Amino acid sequence: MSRRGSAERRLGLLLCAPAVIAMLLVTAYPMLYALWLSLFRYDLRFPDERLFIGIDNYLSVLSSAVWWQAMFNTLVITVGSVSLELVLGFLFALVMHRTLIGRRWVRTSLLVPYGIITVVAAMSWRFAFDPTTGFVNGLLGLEGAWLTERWSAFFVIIQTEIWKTTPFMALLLLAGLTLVPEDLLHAARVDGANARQRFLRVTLPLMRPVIGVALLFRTLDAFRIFDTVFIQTRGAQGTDTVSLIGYNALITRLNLGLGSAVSVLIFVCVLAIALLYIKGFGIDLTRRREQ
Amino acid sequence: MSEIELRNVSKRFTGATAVKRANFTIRDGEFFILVGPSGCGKSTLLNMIVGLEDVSEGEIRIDGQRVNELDPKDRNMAMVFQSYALYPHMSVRDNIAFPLKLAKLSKPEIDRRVARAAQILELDAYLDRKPRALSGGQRQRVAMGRAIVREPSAFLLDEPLSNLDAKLRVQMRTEIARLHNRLGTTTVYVTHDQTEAMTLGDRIAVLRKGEVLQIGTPRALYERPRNLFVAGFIGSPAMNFLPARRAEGRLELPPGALEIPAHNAKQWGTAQGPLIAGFRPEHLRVIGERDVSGLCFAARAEVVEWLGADLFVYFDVALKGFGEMGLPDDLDIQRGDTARHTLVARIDPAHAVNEGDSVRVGLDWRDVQVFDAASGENLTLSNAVNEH
Repeated sequence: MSRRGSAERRLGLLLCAPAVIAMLLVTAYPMLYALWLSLFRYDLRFPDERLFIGIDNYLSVLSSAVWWQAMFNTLVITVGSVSLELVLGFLFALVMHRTLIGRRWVRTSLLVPYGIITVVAAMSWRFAFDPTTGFVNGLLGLEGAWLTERWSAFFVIIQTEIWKTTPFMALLLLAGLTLVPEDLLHAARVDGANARQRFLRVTLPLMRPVIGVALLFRTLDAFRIFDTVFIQTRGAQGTDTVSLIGYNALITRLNLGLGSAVSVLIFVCVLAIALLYIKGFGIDLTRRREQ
Repeated sequence: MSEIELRNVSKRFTGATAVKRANFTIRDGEFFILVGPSGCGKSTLLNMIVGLEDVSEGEIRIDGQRVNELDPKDRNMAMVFQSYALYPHMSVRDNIAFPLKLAKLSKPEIDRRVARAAQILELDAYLDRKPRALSGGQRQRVAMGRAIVREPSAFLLDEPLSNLDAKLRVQMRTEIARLHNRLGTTTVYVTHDQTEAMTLGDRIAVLRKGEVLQIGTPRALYERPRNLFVAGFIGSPAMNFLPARRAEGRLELPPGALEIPAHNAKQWGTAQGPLIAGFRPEHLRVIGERDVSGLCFAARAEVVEWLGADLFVYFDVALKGFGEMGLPDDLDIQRGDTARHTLVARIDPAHAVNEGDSVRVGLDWRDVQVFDAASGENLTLSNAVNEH
């Protein structure tokens, strides 16, 4: 490399340094600290009994039925909400893309749920499904207490998630739709493709990276679900999620060692999901957009 | 193969008319060009023929059958887009095969047709590449390939060469001409480049502001333009224009007067008001001192461009006493100002003319076309038959 080249490189590294240091401080340090804590028996109620125990915490988490139950619940919520959000998000994106009149109004109104704080949304839906004060039962002519049974509670949780984050999905997909060149759709039309074929064979493949990114964001979010479940059931009726397990261990029971092990396991899961998507959808987060 | 007939076809968008009553027939097997400046409605017209735009008024018939209500996929036409519109996620092979797969042709038939198209367009070596790994010229050929595999009744090409560099454009131009000769399919070709139009077209339709001004062979448009716009648009360098007025048996121009035989003068005698005289660059001759036929005048060569086979000499003519010419703005050939006007002569490079030289220039009355300044109509042609 020429002298000028290496000088430029040095300057580049120097300019990146503040951001890198900030990242290390706020993400790498807590993560490594959690990893460190997870290797100890460390309960704040008995701080003197702190003891290095290696991977024992992990073994006890992974051999516990509660963890696997929570993992199953989390996956149910994740798959249920993300898959429906994708379908609904696509529908909304197509509507927004095609809308010719009142475009701004339609887009803004669709985004309202996403602007509401999750806790508020979760409470609103809890009240809505409440057998005494809610409107849902009245509307449907039912009398069930939704949040007192496992699967109906899941239904309420999942539909709250869908209601709240479909706009986000729709917005991402809308951005993807606008990237599909009009000429390609015209060409496909002239080539003999009907609307369904144009969507499946031109629009969808071209949107693959965008769909990948949207699914990645939403899956990671949904997998870490906490506030909706915390507000609506607190994990009752067998609706515990992995984040709630972590919360209970760390905050309620003050068991730093076990709680940290749960957090690290959640992190590993999240990492695995991200890798799966990046491989599966061929998402390249570093590549610049090609012309 | 098919004949495309447009009967009073109009297209209106909210608040604007893009195409006004287009009325012509594209013959079976013909290479037909739609040419005009940007925004003249040529692409809209093409999109209506292929079915991507609805027809507001009028009727389009293919082989006598009305197609206004037919979807593009049912019109059996193939189109090549300016952007090529290749599917980026498919290989060259899949791009070319796409219309055939949609038409549910058998696998061996698809393979046979793709192989043949690839051979014609010399794409054999690139069949498994993605479009992004191809050069501009190759992408253009893939787009052509996707069009020809279908063996459609007509090809529609929307400025297919305008994304290529000058050299490649000339090369692809000849390839398209060769392809048309080989396949003999009716072809409608949209361009804003009059050189492309002249070199490729059997017939050309010149459009301006949504109106078809003239339809004819390249030669007819060049030699007998029906109006000022066509005269100025066709030909490179563009036709020379000078303000003119009628006098007894003569046509007065800023550099001098042209004697006109009486029977010719009668033809454009009906027009009142100012005239514009037009003549092609090759009709300005460099003449000797003793040559006095036609209009002769001395001028100073301001700019000389030597192109090997041609020599372009630019010189200024003072407009003294003649009003400003009202040339159409969209012609883009406004040379000069209210006081003077630049003319260009295409002369034999054997004449050694240098910048700053004073040259004697001659112009024959037979080479001058006279236009009505107000309507733009070519008065020289008013009694002549327009070729269609």
